[in-house]
Amino acid sequence: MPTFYEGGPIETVSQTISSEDYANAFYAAYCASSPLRRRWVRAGIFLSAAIVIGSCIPFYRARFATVWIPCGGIVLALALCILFGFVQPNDLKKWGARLYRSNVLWSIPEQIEIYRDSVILKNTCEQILEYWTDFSLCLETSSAFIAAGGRERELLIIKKQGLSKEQTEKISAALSGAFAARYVKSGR
Amino acid sequence: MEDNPISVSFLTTNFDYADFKSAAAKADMQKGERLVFRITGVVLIVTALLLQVYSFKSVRNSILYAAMAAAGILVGFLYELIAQYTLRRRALRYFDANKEKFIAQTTEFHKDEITFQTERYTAAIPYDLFYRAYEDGRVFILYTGINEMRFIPKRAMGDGECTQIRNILQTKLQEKYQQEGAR
Repeated sequence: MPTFYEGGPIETVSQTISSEDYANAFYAAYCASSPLRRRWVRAGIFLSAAIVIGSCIPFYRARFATVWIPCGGIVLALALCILFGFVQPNDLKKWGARLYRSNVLWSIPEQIEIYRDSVILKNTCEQILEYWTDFSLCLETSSAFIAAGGRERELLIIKKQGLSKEQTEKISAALSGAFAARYVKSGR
Repeated sequence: MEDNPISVSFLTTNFDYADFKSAAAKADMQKGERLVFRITGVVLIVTALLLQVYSFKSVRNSILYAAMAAAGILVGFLYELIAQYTLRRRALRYFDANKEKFIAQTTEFHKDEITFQTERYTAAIPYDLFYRAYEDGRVFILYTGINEMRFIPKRAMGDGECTQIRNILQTKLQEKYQQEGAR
């Protein structure tokens, strides 16, 4: 599998992805794909809605005898706030873990060769070549580099665990250069 | 079979991709889901008929009940047809916009494993590592996980090869193999 860039790999990483790693990466990639998918943005929108409805109660009372409708609105907004703030993140992580459990190939120890323009993932069953341009974004969290939206593999996870500080910095510099504006750093 | 694996090579066309998306949607649809749509449709139609016969008759009410019955027919009996049509159109649009992503693939069915070969992906996956397989009238879909799959259009193989592949999948995957609408 030759790449357009014929130089050697910038870094080679050996790792095994666990269910927890995949679930966390899945959730992080989901949140990074749009600001409106972020937990506290969604929860904040409904909390703000509850505050706005609450602030309108005096005006409502001046026109109507009861305040059941705005109170119902507040309860609904707060329920949605709790749903998006606390329930949905866990459900998404559970779904990510279920995806991982369904795919035995993801749990096989793998070797990742990082090149300037591409990445080669090898395990005992597969060899995958992906170009960085195939991915829609790359997210760097405190525990991993996560490239989302690949052709052959939806999520490419490079764990930081086991890497030296120099290796992490080298990979970070390579990926931030390759992804440019599509590179997002979080939780560092 | 070890010395003579069944080999299928193809380059995906827009209709192959639409067939694949359509088959994947059918494979994902649970029997329970289908039943819920059927029951909802029947309930809507029966309710509309009963209301038309027993309730106060007016032009406005008759239009309302007719709309209810039409919704019942759409939900209960035409939902899958409409969903498939929409899905195929979306797949064809996606293919036109992303033609470069669809490259030639060779798949070989060996005694103990299936091999895939493209210019970017090489794999030899033992049968027991597959999550499931699905076959309909036009494609075989081989799932390595819930959201990761590869498909093989039947137009790329002869009738004999199709039967052989079906037999292999039935034998090797057993309850993980599902067949629907295939001859």
